Amino acid sequence: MTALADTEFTEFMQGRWAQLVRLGYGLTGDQHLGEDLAQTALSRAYASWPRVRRTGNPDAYVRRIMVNANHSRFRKRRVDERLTGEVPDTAAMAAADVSDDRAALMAALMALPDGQRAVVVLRYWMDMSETEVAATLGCSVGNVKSQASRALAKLRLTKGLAEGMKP
Amino acid sequence: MSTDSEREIRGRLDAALGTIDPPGPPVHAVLRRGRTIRLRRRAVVATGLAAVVGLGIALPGLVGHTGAEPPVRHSYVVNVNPPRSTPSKLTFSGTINGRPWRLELDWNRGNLTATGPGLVQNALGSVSDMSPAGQPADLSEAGAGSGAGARLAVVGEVRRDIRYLALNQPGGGVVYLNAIRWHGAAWVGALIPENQQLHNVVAYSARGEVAYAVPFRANEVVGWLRPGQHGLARQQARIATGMLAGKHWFEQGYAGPWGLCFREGAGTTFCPQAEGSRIRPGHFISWLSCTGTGGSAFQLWSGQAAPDISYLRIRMSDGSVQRVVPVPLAGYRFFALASSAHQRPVSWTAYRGSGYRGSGQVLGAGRISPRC
Repeated sequence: MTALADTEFTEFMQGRWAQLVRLGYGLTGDQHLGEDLAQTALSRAYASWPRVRRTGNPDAYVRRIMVNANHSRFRKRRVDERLTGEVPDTAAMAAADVSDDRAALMAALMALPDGQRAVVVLRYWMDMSETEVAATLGCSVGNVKSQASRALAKLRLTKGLAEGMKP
Repeated sequence: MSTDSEREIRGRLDAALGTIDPPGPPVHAVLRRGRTIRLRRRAVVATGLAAVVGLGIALPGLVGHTGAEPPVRHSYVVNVNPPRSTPSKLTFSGTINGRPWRLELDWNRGNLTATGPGLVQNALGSVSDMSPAGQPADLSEAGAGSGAGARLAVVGEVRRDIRYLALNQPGGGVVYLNAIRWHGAAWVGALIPENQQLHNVVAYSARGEVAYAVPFRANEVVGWLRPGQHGLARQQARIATGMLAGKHWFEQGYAGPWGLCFREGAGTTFCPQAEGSRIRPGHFISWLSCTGTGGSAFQLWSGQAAPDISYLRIRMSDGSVQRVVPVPLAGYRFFALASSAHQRPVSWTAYRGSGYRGSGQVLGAGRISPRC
C-alpha cells in the first residue's frame, strides 16, 4: 500500500476511532471489548483498504465488519488476537464511574439478542435509516422494523428503564 | 411504535454511549495487524468441489500425535456443484449426504451467508479481508449449524495462478475445489462437515502442483509448503499449566508441517505466524495472543522469548509477580501465564541463569501494555 493510502487510512481512523469504540461499547457492553472490536474492524479495513475505499462508503464497511465480528466473536473456532506494545495502556472505566442510568441501559441492551441490540444501537444511537441498518446487517428493511419494534417492547418492560418510555 | 419511546431510547443511548471517551486510536497496532492480515494470513481449511466423495472418516489419527481429541468416525458424501456468479453474488452449492447447502458471498455487503436444511440462515462474517497475498490460498472458516449437522463454511480467495485445490482425504478420496473468477479475483468455497478430516490440501496451477498444506488437527490449514518441503517436525510441548480461581488451565504447543499452533484450556486454538518471525536481535519477548475475554474467569497470555532467557518475572496490574519459564518448541521458546479477568501484565524482567535466590542475571526489562 502506498504511503498516501496509509496516510489516508490513518486520517480515517483518527476521525472515527471514538465513534467506533462507542459503537463497540453499545454492541458488547464492555469498553475494552468495544475497543478490540473497533481495532479488529479497522485492521481488516486497512488490510483491504483499496477495496474498501472503492466502495465509496468506508464507514458503512467498517460498521459492517464490527457487527459481523461481534456476531461471530464467540463462534469462531480460533482466536487471533495479537498483543502489541503500542496499544494505549489505559485503565478500564471504573465501575463506580458508571452511572446507574447507563448501567441499567447497558444491562437491558445486553439482555437483547445480538440482532435486536445491533438494530437498536445502529438505528437509535447512530441515527441510521432503516435501509442503512438493513444494509449493514444484511437483512430486509421489514426485518429491521420488526427487530426494532421487539427490542423497544422489551426495553419498555425492563425495570429501571420503563420510566419515561411510553408504550 | 411510539415516537416517544424512540426519542427516549435515543436520549438514553446518547447519554450512555456519548460519554465514552476512549484513549487515542492505536494507529501503529492497527496498521501492523492489518499488514499481518494482508501478508501472512493464516489459511484455514478448505473444501468443496465438483465431485462426489465418499468419506469413511476413520483415519488413524492424523492428529493423534497432537494429543488432540480422537477423530470422530462419520461417513459423509460431499457433493459440490460448479459455483455460479452474478455481479452481486457468488454462490457455492452442493450436498452433504444428500442434504443441500448453499454458501453465498454478497459483493455489495461483503457478507457471507450459509443456508440449507438444518442450518439457520446466518451471516458468517465479512470476507473483506480475504486476499491471498502471495500464498496459494487464503481460506477462512466459520461454523454453521450445530450438533451432528454442524458444518464448516470454507471460503476464500486463491492466488490468480491457482486453478483448483485438491482436498485429499485420508481414505484416498479427493475433493476438487475449482476456482471461479469474480470481480477480478479467484474464489473457492464450500460447506463441509465440521469434523471432516483432511490428509492434505494441494494447490494446483496450470503447470501442476505449486504448494501443499498439512492441516492442523482435522482440517485447519495454517500454512503452505512448497512441493518437497517438509516444514517443521511434529512435536508438542506443554507450555504452561496451573490452577486459577479453582479452575485448571493449560497451554499446549504443537509444531508440525502446518506450522505452530497452540491449544488452550478453554478450547481455544490459535496459530500465530511465529515461524519465520523469530525474535529480532536486541529484543527479548514478543506477545502472541491473549484469550479468555467474554465472561471467562481468567485470561491466558502467551508469548515468545529470546533464546538466552532462562526465566521471566512478569508484574501484573495488581502488583503481583509471576515467574514464568519459557519452554522450547521447534527451535523457539514460548511462555504462557494466566491472570484473573481484570488483571494484565504491565512489566517484565528477563533473566539468564537459574534464578534461585536471586542468582539470575538480568538481561533486560520493559513495560508492556498488552490488552486482551
